[in-house]
Amino acid sequence: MPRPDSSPITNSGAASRAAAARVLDAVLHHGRSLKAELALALPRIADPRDRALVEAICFAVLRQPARFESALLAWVPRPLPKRDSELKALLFVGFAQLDPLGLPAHAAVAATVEAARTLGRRHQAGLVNALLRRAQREGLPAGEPHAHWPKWLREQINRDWPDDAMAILDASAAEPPMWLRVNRRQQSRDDYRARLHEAGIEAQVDDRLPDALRLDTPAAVAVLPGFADGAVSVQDASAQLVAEALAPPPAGRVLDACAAPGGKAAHLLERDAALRLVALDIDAQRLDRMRSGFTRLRLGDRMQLLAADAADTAAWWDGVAFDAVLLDAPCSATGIVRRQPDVLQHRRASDLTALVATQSRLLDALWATVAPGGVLLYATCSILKAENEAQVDAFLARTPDAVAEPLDERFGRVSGAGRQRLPGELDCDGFFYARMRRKG
Amino acid sequence: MRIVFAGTPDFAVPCLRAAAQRNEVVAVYTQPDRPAGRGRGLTPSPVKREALLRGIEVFQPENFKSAVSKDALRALKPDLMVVVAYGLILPQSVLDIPTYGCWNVHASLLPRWRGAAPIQRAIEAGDRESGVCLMQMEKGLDTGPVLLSQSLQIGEQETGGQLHDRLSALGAQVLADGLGLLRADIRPLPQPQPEEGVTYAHKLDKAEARLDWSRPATVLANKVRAFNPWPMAEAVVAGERLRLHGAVALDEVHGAEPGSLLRAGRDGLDVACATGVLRIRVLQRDGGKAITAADYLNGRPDLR
Repeated sequence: MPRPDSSPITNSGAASRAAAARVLDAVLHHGRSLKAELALALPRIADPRDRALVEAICFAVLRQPARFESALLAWVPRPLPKRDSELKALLFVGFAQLDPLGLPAHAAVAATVEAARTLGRRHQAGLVNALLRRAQREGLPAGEPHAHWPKWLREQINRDWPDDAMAILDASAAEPPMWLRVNRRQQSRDDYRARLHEAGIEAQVDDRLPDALRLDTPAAVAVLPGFADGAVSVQDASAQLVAEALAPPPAGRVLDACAAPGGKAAHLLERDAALRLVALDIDAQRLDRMRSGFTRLRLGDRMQLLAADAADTAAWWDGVAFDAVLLDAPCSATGIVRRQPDVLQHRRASDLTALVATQSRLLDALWATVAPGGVLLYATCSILKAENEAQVDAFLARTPDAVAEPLDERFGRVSGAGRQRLPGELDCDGFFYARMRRKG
Repeated sequence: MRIVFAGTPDFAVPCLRAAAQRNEVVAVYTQPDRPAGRGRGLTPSPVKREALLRGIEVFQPENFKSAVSKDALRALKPDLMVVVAYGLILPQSVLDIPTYGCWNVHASLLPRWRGAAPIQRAIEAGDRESGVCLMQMEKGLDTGPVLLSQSLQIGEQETGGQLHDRLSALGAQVLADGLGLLRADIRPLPQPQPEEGVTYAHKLDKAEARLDWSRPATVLANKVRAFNPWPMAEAVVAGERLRLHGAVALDEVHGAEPGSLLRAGRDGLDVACATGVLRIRVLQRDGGKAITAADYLNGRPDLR
């Protein structure tokens, strides 16, 4: 039977708040995934009711970190130092219990203050108490629900997508779905869906995507049947569409110019084992991680991996042209904020200028490696026109032998010579695709 | 937790997904299949389609007056019934069946906009804020105490369709929060609705779609936004009946007869209102598609 008003403050009450704070600190401040953190934290909590509370608090905070952030900024004169990121997460835990979860204030505050002690922050328990009492008294600022977006970026999105700006910000605050890519070399998507069903995991299919499944409830990869043997990978639907957009010729020679973490290269090989694929990345460490991923998928020996700056073709290219080049360019990542909220914490307007310059340098250099009659797919996980529509238009204008090829509506709305998928549409990440053919 | 879900239109589908995510939805109640479209025969509701996709048993009673339909619900042994835009009145005897009663997700900040069309009425009234409430249902129209709520800002150019989609997603979040708390064995505290600020959101009617130029431009612009995509505002401009998809109010003083076309250019068709000017940006001719004013003028050189 439910407790009609409040739960007594027990050790488990404080422990579950502390657990939620640890999870949120890892996700909000250290770039960890919520799924992974919950998978570690929840089994250590004995009572299923406490597990449910930890989850409810985590979801409530991650939907609106901006609100809690702006409350803190209003009430704390100086931003909390980095070493206190766990304290900040605990304050968010306290705020979320008051609003949106509407828990009885005295119980929520007492348990959260106690959790400060559990976390070894006895000296900060008073601060937690004062701030939560204030939140209870004054209410959390409704204010701007997207205050964690840098002002310049919000204004840019308003200019780029005036009719969709609100929806973009809302979708970026939503909990992302978990998409899987079934390795078609091992089994069909429908067979794998049946395997999931047997394991008690339900998934939906998407007609636009031959290899994709969307889980009804995100799951830890450890419980996915055959994951360790490469049966399936985790990859958003938008990223899975890259292979559809590139559509290299059978057994063609293909370049993936900025390949890490390697999901798209792996997908290309799963679709056509005969591809002659060269994968580059500027970061040798990320390339090593990519190798281990390919080992899981048993693709380890199927491609050439090179650590190099793709734009410096003199350093790595043997002069043999490619039938298809994938340039999944470094970008602002503004289309995947729902997966990486920390993207927003580090973005400055000056970064954008540098990224746009890098993108055009890569486009110009890699165009030389495309065979006459071959294609280059320019893709980003950005929603900013400077990186997408304008970047491609400028490239086409200065490149007489490049012709844009139309993509169909599976790839989102028309945006210049390419297509833009905005975040949240059809449950996908924000992504841009432009396919260009070199005159033969 | 055994949940019975009751809902009908698109708006309710995200809530059904949220309910089914971590709980056992033992049955779905939805309105009987209705004739839809030209000769397409009986069409299942969006909620029914989602339920069938998930393999959930579907019930479609015409009403809850009969003892048989109540017995069928009782036999499901529901812990909770979640009601989202179901479209049937539930008598007290039904509300009392589930252990925790019935929760309703309503697309307004109650007590403002109780009733059938809260989303469109909020835009039509020029509201700058809207939201969703999770309400413990009582007998009476949206009068029950509020368990949880979330608000959002309405965009200046936001249409009824866009706000519908955002509130539909927000409703699923509020429901997920409520169910998460219930799983944690915590019942959100019911807050009685205040007596002040009650307004009613009456059902939209096609007859309202006709714009009356003797009203202020701001009122008409809000109506155009609110009624997009349904029922779509209509007006006669320069002798032709048009459906208006997008328009803005200009704060311009003029001495013209309301309803007269002041200007027609790339930016839109400017029509005089009682006060101010309505600039029509996107419109639709009979049997045509939505087009910009500029494209429309290509076919109406007489207006240039």
